[in-house]
Amino acid sequence: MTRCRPIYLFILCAKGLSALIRKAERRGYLHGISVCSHAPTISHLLFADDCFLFFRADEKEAQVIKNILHTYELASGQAISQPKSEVFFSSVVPSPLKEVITNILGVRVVMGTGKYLGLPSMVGRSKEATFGFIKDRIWHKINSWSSMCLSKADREVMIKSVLQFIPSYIMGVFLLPNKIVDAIEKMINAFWWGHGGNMRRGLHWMSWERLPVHKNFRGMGFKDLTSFNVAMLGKQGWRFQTDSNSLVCRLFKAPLG
Amino acid sequence: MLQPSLKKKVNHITFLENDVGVRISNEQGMRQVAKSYFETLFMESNSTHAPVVNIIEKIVFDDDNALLTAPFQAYEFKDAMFSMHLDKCPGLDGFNPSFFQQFWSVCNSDIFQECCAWLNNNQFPSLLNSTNIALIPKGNEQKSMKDWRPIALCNVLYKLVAKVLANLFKKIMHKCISENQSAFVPEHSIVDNAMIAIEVVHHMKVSKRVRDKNVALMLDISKAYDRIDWLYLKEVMLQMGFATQWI
Repeated sequence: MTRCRPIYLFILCAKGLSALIRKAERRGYLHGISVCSHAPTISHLLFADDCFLFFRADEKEAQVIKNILHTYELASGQAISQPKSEVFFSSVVPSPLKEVITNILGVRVVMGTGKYLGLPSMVGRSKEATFGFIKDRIWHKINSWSSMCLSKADREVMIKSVLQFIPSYIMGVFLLPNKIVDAIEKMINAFWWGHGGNMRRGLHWMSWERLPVHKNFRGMGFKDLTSFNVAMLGKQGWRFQTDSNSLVCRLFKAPLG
Repeated sequence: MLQPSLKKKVNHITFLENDVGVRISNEQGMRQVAKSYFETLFMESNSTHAPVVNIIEKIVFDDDNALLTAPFQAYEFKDAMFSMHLDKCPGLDGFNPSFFQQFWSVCNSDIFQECCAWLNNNQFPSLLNSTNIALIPKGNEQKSMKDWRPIALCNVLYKLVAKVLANLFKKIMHKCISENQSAFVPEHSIVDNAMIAIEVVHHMKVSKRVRDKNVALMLDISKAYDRIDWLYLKEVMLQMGFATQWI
């Protein structure tokens, strides 16, 4: 049986890591982060092979983490590649301490450009820069196809089932800025009306506002990305309402008292 | 998307680099490289399980085990078979799920009896176990064996058995998984974890209190799925309280 389903079994495997961290936490060697005084403390997040560990910035805890990882590696046979792992410090940590900790762990420091589960793990001042990668991805898709002389129907399928779904995962968590949505819609519009290669724009026979209308009402049935975004976020809100015991929910509600 | 001629070029392996970085382009040599790569990957490493295993709590109890070890039912196999996608790639025997679904009325009892016999005796015929391995290119450029992701195309029957077991396992899954691990469980969602991570990282960035000195460490576990030490896993499961029969 052990050969049947590596993915499920992997979870059992990571159980070991989880148990090690819990134990250290119980004994007071490790401290997770809590966003405010009522919030649940978070010391580790595991999603399949993506791990996020949180602890207090001092030498002792870094050493403890290192030992834990070492024990886990020895036991499970899984290798953690240190050069590929990333570490991020909160803004109040002084730089000498940062250096000491990176040396202990043997990893590199990032300034919050890292991604966790395909989502940007940090959103800075400039939302446009953070989400710019979506625009690039769509642009790449369009570019690689536009030279292939697709028919009108081909392009419809392409837009409906490929292009408009690229941002959907990110839209499930973030409200994309209008500028990005605009840019995406412009690209899709140009792709829809243009013909042949070289991104020729072609004549736009209908305004973009009329295209997302249902086909029965003389539209094309494309998605209106802004409304789609809001709907996806609404789903998150619904989950908060209905499942108030989940970890996310407790975390997000904590600062509100 | 690539043009057909270009795609062919990508799919064709013209050379491989071995572990010291030497290019090998003749067929014999490339075979050798691939073989040794997989051999080192699956080699059993000497490891010490005890410190980790001992602290895992027992969470599976007798009634769960009764659920797991109950005799298999015919409908379980039927559900598993019909949940497979119709034209998923067939394994070595060349029958895809569509074939089995079409002729389910003819072959169901045979399949059921045979599969139960395998499961109860803990023995698979070795022929059933053999798989085609397809390599999927990873990244923009493929140089060594690391840049290909191996995908095993198993026989449908083998997948069927695996699926039945997995479905059983799902029933007690929620007990095994803490809320810090959100993957692969129906009620947990992938975005949950992502949102927590984003929130915590944001807190780290904006908080100016001196006692909020924190570190986030993102780990990269290489080859997470193929490199599990089976012996370790077995001990973990025993410690969690699974019945030996099930393992």
